[in-house]
Amino acid sequence: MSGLYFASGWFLAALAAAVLPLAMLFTKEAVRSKIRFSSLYFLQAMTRPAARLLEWKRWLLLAARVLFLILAALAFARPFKRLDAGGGSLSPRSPLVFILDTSASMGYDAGDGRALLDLAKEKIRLKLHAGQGPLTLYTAADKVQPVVIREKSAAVFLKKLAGVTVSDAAGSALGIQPWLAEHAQEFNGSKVTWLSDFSTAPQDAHRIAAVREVPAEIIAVRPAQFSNFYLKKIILPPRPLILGREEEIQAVYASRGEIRAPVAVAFFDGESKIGETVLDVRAQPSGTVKIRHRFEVPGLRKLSVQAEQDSLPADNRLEELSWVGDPLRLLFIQDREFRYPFESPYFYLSQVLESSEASTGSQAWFRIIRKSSAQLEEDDLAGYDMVFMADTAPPPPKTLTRLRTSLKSGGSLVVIPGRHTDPGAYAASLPMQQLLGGRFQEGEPQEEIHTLRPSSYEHPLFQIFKPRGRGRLEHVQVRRVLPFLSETPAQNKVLLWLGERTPCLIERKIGEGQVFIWTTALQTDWNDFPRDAAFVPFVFEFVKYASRGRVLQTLRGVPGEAIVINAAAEEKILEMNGPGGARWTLTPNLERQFQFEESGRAGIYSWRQAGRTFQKILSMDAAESVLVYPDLNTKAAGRAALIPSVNPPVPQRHFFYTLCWLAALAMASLETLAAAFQFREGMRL
Amino acid sequence: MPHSSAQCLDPRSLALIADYELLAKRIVDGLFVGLHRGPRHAFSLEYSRHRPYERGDPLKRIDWKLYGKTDHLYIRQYQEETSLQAWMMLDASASMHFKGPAEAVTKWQYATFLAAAFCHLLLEQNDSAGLITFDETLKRVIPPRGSRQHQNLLLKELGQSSGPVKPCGGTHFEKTAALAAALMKRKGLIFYFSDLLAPAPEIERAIHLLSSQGSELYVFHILSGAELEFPYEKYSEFQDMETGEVLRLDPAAYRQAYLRNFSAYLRDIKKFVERREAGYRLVDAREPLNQVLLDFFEKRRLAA
Repeated sequence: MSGLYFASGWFLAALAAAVLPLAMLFTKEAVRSKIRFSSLYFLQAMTRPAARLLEWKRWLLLAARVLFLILAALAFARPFKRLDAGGGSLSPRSPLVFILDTSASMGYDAGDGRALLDLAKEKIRLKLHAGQGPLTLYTAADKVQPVVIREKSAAVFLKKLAGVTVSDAAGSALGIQPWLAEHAQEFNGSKVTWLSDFSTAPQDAHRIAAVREVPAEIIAVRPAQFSNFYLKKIILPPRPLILGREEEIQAVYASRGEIRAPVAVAFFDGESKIGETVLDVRAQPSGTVKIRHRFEVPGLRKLSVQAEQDSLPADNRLEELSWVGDPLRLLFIQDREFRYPFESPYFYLSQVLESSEASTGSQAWFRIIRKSSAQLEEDDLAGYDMVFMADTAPPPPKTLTRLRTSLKSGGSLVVIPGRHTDPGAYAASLPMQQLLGGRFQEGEPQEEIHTLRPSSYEHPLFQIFKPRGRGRLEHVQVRRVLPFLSETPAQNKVLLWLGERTPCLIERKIGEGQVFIWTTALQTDWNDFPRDAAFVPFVFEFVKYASRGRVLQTLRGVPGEAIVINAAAEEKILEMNGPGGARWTLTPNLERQFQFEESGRAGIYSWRQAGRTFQKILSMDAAESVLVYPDLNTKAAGRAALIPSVNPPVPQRHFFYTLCWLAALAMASLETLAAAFQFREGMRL
Repeated sequence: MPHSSAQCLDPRSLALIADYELLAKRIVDGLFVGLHRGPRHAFSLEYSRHRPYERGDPLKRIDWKLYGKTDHLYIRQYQEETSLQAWMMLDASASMHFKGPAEAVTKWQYATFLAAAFCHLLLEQNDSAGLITFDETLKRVIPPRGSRQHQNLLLKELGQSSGPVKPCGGTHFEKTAALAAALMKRKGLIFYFSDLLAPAPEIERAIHLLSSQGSELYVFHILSGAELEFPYEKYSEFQDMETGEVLRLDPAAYRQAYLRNFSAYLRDIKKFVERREAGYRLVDAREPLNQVLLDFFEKRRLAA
């Protein structure tokens, strides 16, 4: 029974056999015929008293049978034994098994005019010695082929080995590792050697790195100079790209510096090439490559960068989505003149934004427009991406109604209290209450010291503040608060808290747009936030997030990582767009949290949900593909162990098997007893 | 082609005869083929005897002469001076319409064959016969008469009621026995045809009610071979013909227990029927009728 292990078909068949007693019972008990009998008087009188007891005993016996079969199967099953592939207890006459990679990449020039495959054959020849055991060769490209050569004579084996050629198929160690794990039992007592160049697509590298141990000796057949080059990520400005303006796009690349020829890196806007740069990788193995391009067409754009020289060029492509459009228009409503600029409720906000504008030269990506409430009466409010209402009285109802209408088609309203904010005026304005979904608490602002606490660091607004991120929001002290009382708590989502219970920043959706309600001013007499290091990045993130109707929410991950989609109950079908134009139709099946797992390829995955577009960019940032080589090089040769993901080790297995045997015997005894005594007359199993 | 009496009276062959007059004649004629004893005396036995006085007996029936001799009170029992009055009581409940897998006639049909034969015999020798069918109550009552027309009426009635009958609620032995006893003004002979499928105490009370009238009671306990042997093998759904109840079971598993319980029940029935000084005959619906009739006459002869 040595071939019976947990993952084998025999074992599964044995488990399936446990279903047999059940099937037999139900088949036997299927009513074959209906009989109209004169009277059930005697039958009922006979069966009634013992019926329940009989039923219990019957099920008990059935359970005993099923358990017996399961336990017997378990008792026979064995996990893989450790292979001592490095020699150890293996004798010189132990059989030798070679797994030779014959994928297309093995035809690569090793540098001395020979192909990698020839190099591998040479290494096999060197492994042979006088008086070795039987020799077996498997070839593997995308998957392992049946035995190609099985010989006792080394001479004959080498002669046949010379005839092995490179196949056209692309290979991947991912296909060979599971095979090795599955057949490890067969190779028990043999010395297994796996020869490959281990060239793998960058996006698969981390998956190989996750399985670091294989039950074989590994010989990496590497060329003197290996063409290993890959792009790591695209860097775009942290804002929408501005229409008609020359923007800079960068790509980060890395290599092992083994490429002699120049590497051409091309940039694409959709399918149109918008720039190309040639790199001398030997001079600079890693770094960034950049182009400048003027975008003339507004809208959502898929920007990509591709290296044309690589071992697997088709996969060496990165994509990023960005919005191309006019600069954002930010409206600051200001009804009051201030003696000193710092008295303005917009002072610190505009300082941050304008300093950013200044730091990027004349490349402003937004425009700040200041107007009074009265001036808005004739204004087209739909033309603003964000409307800030800081320390002002509510605008006239007509203006608010128009503002609400414009918000429904996108944009944001930001309400910030200040020392002149009259909660009574806000409460008295019905359109204002409708916009805010509540009112500020009457009375003076509360003087209490709080610290900021984001509702979740996974929220796009706070992702950059994750531990070890930019700045610490928890260090910000807030001294003055004008509490806001939400009348529709379900629609008013708190993004930022003050301590445990007091909301600091509330988001309320209105159509495609949203309203943000602050309960503290962005001024130093209310809190330390404007002085804190976190303020500048927060303002940028806030502006990006608040205008996210245009700038998409972006999630990041590594290829192969499942994309988690929080589907709404009413969403039956989702369209997922993947890299290279791939499309999937997903049916969440009413699951609130749905995982999309066909995400093995690097690139942009985007989907529309509840009228909004989401995207996740899977890149190799988090999985450095070079890691795979140190793990699978010759340093690892001789190491062999269980592969946990394939065959989990069974702790205390001697105890486990003994227990299985004893339990199975007990079940068999019970069965025999039942058959011998027939618990009760009338009981047949 | 000549037939033996057993062949003639086999239920399979009798089931083919639709005319009950012919059927009764064939039974009776077939019965006496090869018998030495004169059949026509079967019911006209003159018999009188004394029995000990019991409370409630009329004083005028006390034999005072015998009292003078023995110092014990005895009642004088007279022989029937007029023609014999017989009642055929047939259980017409749904269970009587059961027949086993390999049987030609239902229990009901078998009972009607027997009843027809007895009617024919009685009326041929100028005795009178009546008919009562019952289930939960009395269904049909034909008072005893002795005419030729009456014979035709009875046989026609038996023939008509042998068709399929839908299951009714069940049989109420005690109630129907009480009602029937009330109808029987004169002492006579009661032929009781039933499968007696009911709790034994109920049967006992019914038998007591019928026998306590002074009439001579003869019980034909008619059962199917399937009831007696329970030959079913496959897991089946059994439906009660009277109540419609359903029971699923493996009959082979329960056979031994069934047969044991059923035998005990039969013993009980026989015991208390005989305790009432009534005649009892367990009839297998596969038996030839002549055997049943001969047993009956033999028993009466011995009793005489």
